[in-house]
This record gives sequence, C-alpha cells and structure tokens, in this order.
Amino acid sequence: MSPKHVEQMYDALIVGAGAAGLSAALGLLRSERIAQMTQEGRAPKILVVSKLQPLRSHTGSAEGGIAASLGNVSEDDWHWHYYDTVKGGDWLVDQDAAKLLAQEAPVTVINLERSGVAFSRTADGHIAQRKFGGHTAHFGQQPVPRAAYAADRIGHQILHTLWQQCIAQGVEFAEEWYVTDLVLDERHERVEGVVAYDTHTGKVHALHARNVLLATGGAGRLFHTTSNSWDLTGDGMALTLEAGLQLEDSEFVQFHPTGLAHTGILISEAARAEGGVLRNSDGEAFMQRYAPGHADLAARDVVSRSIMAEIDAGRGVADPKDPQGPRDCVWLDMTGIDPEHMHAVLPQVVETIEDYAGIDPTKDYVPVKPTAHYTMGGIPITTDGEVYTWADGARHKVTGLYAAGECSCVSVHGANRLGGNSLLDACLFGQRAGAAVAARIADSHAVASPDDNAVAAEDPSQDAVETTAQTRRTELAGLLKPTGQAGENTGSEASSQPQTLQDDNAYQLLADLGSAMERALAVRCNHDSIAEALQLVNEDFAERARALHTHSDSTAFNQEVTAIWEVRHLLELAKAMLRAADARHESRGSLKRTDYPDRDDKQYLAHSMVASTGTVAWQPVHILDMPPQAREY
Amino acid sequence: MNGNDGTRVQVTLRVHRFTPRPERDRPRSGSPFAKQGSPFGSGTARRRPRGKQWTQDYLLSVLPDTTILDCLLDIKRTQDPSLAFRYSCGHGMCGSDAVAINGTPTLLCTAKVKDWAVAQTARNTTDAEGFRKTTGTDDDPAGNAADVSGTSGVSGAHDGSPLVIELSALPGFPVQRDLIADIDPMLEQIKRLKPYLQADGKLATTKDGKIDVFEYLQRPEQLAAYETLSNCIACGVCEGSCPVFAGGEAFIGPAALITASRFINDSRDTAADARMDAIDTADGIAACQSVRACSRHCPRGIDVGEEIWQLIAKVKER
Repeated sequence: MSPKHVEQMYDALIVGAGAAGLSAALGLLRSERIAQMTQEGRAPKILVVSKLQPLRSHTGSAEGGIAASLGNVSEDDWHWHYYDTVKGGDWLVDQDAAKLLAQEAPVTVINLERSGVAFSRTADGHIAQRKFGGHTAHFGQQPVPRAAYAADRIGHQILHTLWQQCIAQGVEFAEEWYVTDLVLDERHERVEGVVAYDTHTGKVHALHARNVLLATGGAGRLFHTTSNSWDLTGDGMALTLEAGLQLEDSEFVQFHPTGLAHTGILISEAARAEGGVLRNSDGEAFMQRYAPGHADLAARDVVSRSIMAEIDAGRGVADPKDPQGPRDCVWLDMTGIDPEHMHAVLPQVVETIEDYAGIDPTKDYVPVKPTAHYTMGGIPITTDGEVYTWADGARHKVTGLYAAGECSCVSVHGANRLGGNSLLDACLFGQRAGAAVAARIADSHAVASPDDNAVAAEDPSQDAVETTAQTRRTELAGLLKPTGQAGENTGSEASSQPQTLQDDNAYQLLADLGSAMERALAVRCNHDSIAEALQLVNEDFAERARALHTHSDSTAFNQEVTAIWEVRHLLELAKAMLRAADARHESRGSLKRTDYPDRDDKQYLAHSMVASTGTVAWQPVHILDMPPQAREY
Repeated sequence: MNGNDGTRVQVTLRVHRFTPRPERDRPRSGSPFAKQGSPFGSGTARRRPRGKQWTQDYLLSVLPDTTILDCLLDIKRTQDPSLAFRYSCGHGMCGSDAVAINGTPTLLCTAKVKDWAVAQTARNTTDAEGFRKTTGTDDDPAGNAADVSGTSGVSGAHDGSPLVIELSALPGFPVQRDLIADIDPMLEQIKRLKPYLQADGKLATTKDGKIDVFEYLQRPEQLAAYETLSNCIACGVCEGSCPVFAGGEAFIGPAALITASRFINDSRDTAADARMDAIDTADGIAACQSVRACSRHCPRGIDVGEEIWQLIAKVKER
C-alpha cells in the first residue's frame, strides 16, 4: 500500500514497521491527548514508512519469549530482572534504563495479551512462562521462568497483533518505500524530514515532518553468517551517521553459538539443554575443557568464543554442503538424545535441520557455527526515545528526532543482551517513544495554529528536504543507466553453461563485505584484523560501491536500486563499527579483543560514541544501584 | 541419499518474466469515446498492467538440497541482478516469497531443487532407441522429481533431457514485475473483516511496578481452539491455489476466512456474531466450493479447507 497522496507536512513519520515501529504508532495514537485531538477533528498527520509490508518484518522470526517478572509460574520480582539485565550486559548497561525495562515489563506483556497475542497458557489460564539463559531468582541464585511465550512463535504473534491493532486505529502505511536520507537543519539540532524512494514506481518523495522516529531494526547482514533476514541492513543507523550524528556502543554484536552452518538459521539453545553436545573434528566434546561444570550450557558469548577457538586451532569441520569450503564449523551431536523424545520436545529444531541441512539429527552430526544475531549498540536515545549527540560531556537532543528498537541504544543490553529482552525493549521503548512524540504534537498544536503547515515550501531553495530529494533523483538517474549486460535478453534458449556477469553488482559486494566483516569481527578480533577490514572498506569496497549501477533501466520494482543503497549503508556502518571496536582496548561481553583480553573498568566503563568521521567519544555508564562486579555464571 | 554427498546437478530455472511499461502521467481516458471501456465491466475494474513479457532460462549447477530461493539469489549475484522476486527471512516465517513453482503456489525458501526439478522432455519425446517412456511421465511429475538426488536424475540430465523448474508469479493476483505479485487485494479483504481482537478494550497501567488490570484468562484448551489459525503468515499460497479466488472480487478468499475464524474461535473476542454476519454473504462462505486446493501447500500446516468447512458449519448452525 502507498498513501493516496503525500502531505505537505507530517506531524510524525515512523520509519520501520516491526515491533518497535508499530508499538510507537500505537503508543502515539492511544495517548489520551491525541485521541482527544482526533475526536475534535484535528487528527494529527502520521505516516508509517517501511521497506517491507509490515507483516514481513523480522520481528516475526523471534521464537523464544519476552521477559517480564509476572511470576505466573513461580515467584519473581522485577528487581531480580533488573539485576540479571545489568549483569548479563557486563555492567555496560545504563541502570536507569534497565530499571525501567524491568519495572515496566509486566504491563508491556499484559497489554500485548490484551491486544490479542495468543500466549501459551498455564492450566489456570494465565500467560505461561519458561526459563531462559541468564534469568534468575534472588539475584543469581537459581533459574526462574520469566520468558512469556507462544509456543516457539512469540515474534510472529506479537508482530501480527501489533499490525492488527494498527489496522484498528486506521494507521496509514507507505509500504515498500525505502528511506534514503534523514534530513536535519544545518546545525544538526532539529529534524526536517526524510527522503523516501517508492520501490513500486521509482519515485523519490520529499517527506517533511515535525517528528521522525527511526525503528529500522538491526544490521545482521554486515556478516556472511547471520540469523537475520535479508532486509536487516542497518539503514536507520547509517542514516543517522550520514546525517552527522553518532552511534553508541556499535562494536557490540551478539553471535548466537549455534547457527545451522552457512545458512545462519538459528538452532535453539534447547537442543543443548536436551543433551546435544558440541564436538570438534577429533570428535572431542570440547566445551568441558573451556567451561568445566557448565560445558555446553555456558553463556552464549562463552560458547561462541570456544567454538571459534577450536576453529582457529584447526579443529573445525567443513559444512557438508560445501565440502571443499573453509573448515569453519563444529559438530552439534544430538545422537545421544532419544529420537522419540527429540521429536516431542524439539519439533522446530528437528524440522529446521531436516529442511535446511538435509540431515537426520537422530543419526548424524549437525554442522553449526556462531551466527550474527543482534546489535546491542545503535542510535543513542534517552528513555523517552529522544535521539541525542554526546559532546562536551553532555547529551544534546535533536529536536523532533526519535528512535526505538534494535536500531537504537537506550543501553539496556550493554555489552551482551539477555534472551527475551529484545522484544521487550522494542515494544516498551517503542511505546514510550510514541507517547513522547504524542506529547510533543499535542504541545505544539496547543500553542501554534494548525495552519502553519506551509512553512516548509515558501522558498524552495531553503527547503532542505526537497534539495536532498533532488540530489537523490539525479543520483538515481545515473544508477539507472545500465551497460547493456545480461538483464533483459529475451532469448528462451538454455545455454549449455551458466552465463556469468562480466561486471560488478550490489549483491556480490554485499557477499564480499559479509565475508570481510566476518574475518575481522566475528566473535573475536584484534587490531590487525580490524585494520585489514578497514582498509578494504575504505578503499576497495568504497570504490566498488561508487561504481555500482543497475542492470535494468526500468524504475518499477527495480530491486537493484535499493540493493545499491543498502550496501552503501552497510559500508558506512561497517566503518563506524570497526572504528569503535578498534578504540575499545578491552574485552567485555560480546566483544573479545585477543590483544586486550581483560575487562578494564578504569578506562572503559563507558559507552563509545562514534561519528562517521571515525572520531570516538566516551560517555560514562549510568551506575545507579549496582557497582560493577565480575561476571560469572 | 540425502543430497549431501556433494554431487551437483545441472538445472534450468525457467522464469516467466514481466517488466511493466513506464507509467504515463497523462490521465488515462483522453478520448471521450474510450470512457466507458468494456460494456460488461464497471469503470472500477482493475487495469491489467501492460508491458513486456518473456520467458528466460538460467542454467545452474547446484546441490539437490538447495532451496529455490538460494538458486535465485545466486542468479542475482552471478548472472542477472535485474531478476525481481520478494524474499526476506529465508526460512518460511515472513511469508513474502510465495510464487508458482511448476504451476503450484508455494514458498521459494521452503522448496528444494530435488523436489521440484523435472526432466524437461519426459513427455512427447523418444529415447535413443526410439521408444517413448510410458511410466512416471504423464501424471506423475513428482515421481520424476524424486529421482533427482539419485543417480537416475543425474544421468537423466547427462543424456540430454535437462532438469527444469518453472517459476511464475503467484496466480490470482496482478503481476507487478517478474515474480512479484500485487497481494494488496488479499490484505484489503482481510482488513474488511476487522482483523483485531474486540474485547473490553481496556489497557493496563502501572505505577511502581504494580498493575491495575491483568491479562484475560484463557485455558489451554480454549487457546487450542484457534492457535493453529493464529499462525497464518498471510503469504497468499492458499489464495493462489483457490480456483474460485482466481480473478478476485467474487470471493473474499481463504486467507480472510481463516482470519475471521481465528477471532470467532478466540474465547476472548466478543464480536463473534457480527463476524459471522460479515462472512455469511454471497462473496463470503457461500462462494467457497470446498475444492480444498487451499490446504495443499500451506507453509504453516493449516488445513485451510477443513477449517473453512468447520467455519461454514458454525455459521449455518447458529
């Protein structure tokens, strides 16, 4: 769907329609003051712009659960959730934000249920909860069932329910529109709007707005092996960098230990909980050596690092689908699990392995490797979703600019996210950001007359959004000049050999960037690995990205145009991520620097704030109730 | 044989392609004589997109276990970046990649080469001795396909009858480009049926971690009455399979009916009667002919035809 017509000025533009974007739209429209305005016939003009139809968003792939201390199954307390979140994040968590996360989690989950989510239930009809890694009772004493779940489809349930409620509210969507630019005023103090590319028609739109909220998700496609969908190309983060703002803690990327070989599709931790064992090429169950006592059920980052250590020591195995390829996997041995039991308790795991590896896990070993899963860092925001820059030891807000969800960093995840906290972050802080935008709209309508809409277009040369859109249109025209390769040859004859392209394209560059980033940063890194990737990104890849063009000049559904802009976004983000990783001379949570193997609270109990120039500033962590301790499980 | 022994097969992906003609900015009916259009159609009939149509073959050497989505992504990288198709999660959850494979609606990311490749010339051709095959050809393309990962399929490719997989956009919807279809009509039909929980509408608020309203209670057996239905990913496979839906407006379609049934069977919902009225219409349940083609390839395992049958019984028995 595309909007019937484009407004002169929007009260709010929400970019992205996953859990965070849709929660923001609902948080905005459900606020009392907006409801009042709507009733009085002064409904604010709101548009949700997203590069996918909302139901295709990656939120739908989340399986496990959403954390909240409901205590439906056994006693729980939000203080314990608060503690677990800070500890799991290796004390790089802003404690004011984590406190809010834990306190507001129950109401967030209850309201998802009251909106229609089909949660699994306890026998007496309450929301069912299960145990999840790192969630404990009595401050680390024993595991507690805190993750509210819907079989293994909680993300699907939440995504569809939020979309349904948006339909009920009459939210207007611009679907399959891709935002190419975030436009601020010259001094980077106020938002002016965005430029968006309608992929259906190839038209570039200048969208003026008083408020813009970015909720574009993560950036797993920076890496070759990822659990993320093909659309997670870090667009919101790159837009922020390109607009001259900073990213916070972008060097922290969570790698889930058991992706299904080169597909990256997740194999749930439950496979190991039920008796699955990781083995190297010698058949050794190596986790016992790295984490005596915990073995295969040690913390996510610990298991991922151990797997990589085995691979680095030459004890990895090749993905059987690519037997001549790199030996960059290890085996997951599930043959010790009784086959009947396996089918009963791990149906989704078995189905995934059978469908995507062609392996029977009751008989054969399954190839696994760590898979890029979640970006802890992102666009720096306050607990009300306001985007800020860090300069001269203080936060400076950008008026009218908001963010929420995985693309943002309110810093509840710190250096390593706990399972069940990502959906919670997206829904809770999405809702809060939406409510904050609502308050700002209501305030501005109360003082200004609603007729000052036309401010933007008085003098076209002063219209920054239109100027930026015009630059994009010119660039687009250049991209659409194909060199006559492949594409539209109409022959239906099968040639005897696969044809090969002679020139470069965005899809190939994306693959090469993924391999380079994986070599440089996956699970562990050091100065040399980072420097090597930085050189590629700054020179070879940058040159290739500049030279990209499409192979068809038709503007309708020309996916290559979006792919070119996406890969350029990823390069911008890769640069920032590498710079931030290089600047942090310690190991903490998901970041393992082999040249600085220990945590260093004296120097680095601080958030990195990196700009597109590569400059890194440091913002102290908010410590409220819990001084840093060693992180042991 | 599980297709993992590293033996590659040569397969041709035959893609039905379409590029729309660029839209013109001038209003459509410039001539006063053209205003009425067809004497049979209404003025609001959906315009068939015009443009260039052709069939294009891509030859690939792949493992039989490869998904057809991965084949197409490989084509984008190495042969033809202009080929257009929707895709996102790549493992059957997002619902964006429904197309017709050998004429059958299903998802690109769950379909494998070994299950869909068929020997191109099995029908109406003769072998080296001049005989025509009489088994496993006419009615049983699946029988051919099952052999692909084994030796006969591979040698079949070698003796000059190459393996082919035919791809076209999801049937029943207007094609926008190549394998991309416009499924907005389905989403519009779903939206018409108020696809959201209708209950007391109260939301909880919290102060210092204390909540004023709790969840609606629902016992596991009440959840079981609609849980499967709530797993629908709105991919459109059932709609593309339905012979009544093909062509659009006459039937609200299986996906919309599944959505209606999801809420009618949800113990928390208070609008069941109104929901049943909304589908008790000529273009609602009355249009379903119980062909049950909709059940065959549902990626979420919903027995769509059976569910609609149950729904019809429920509406009729009120």
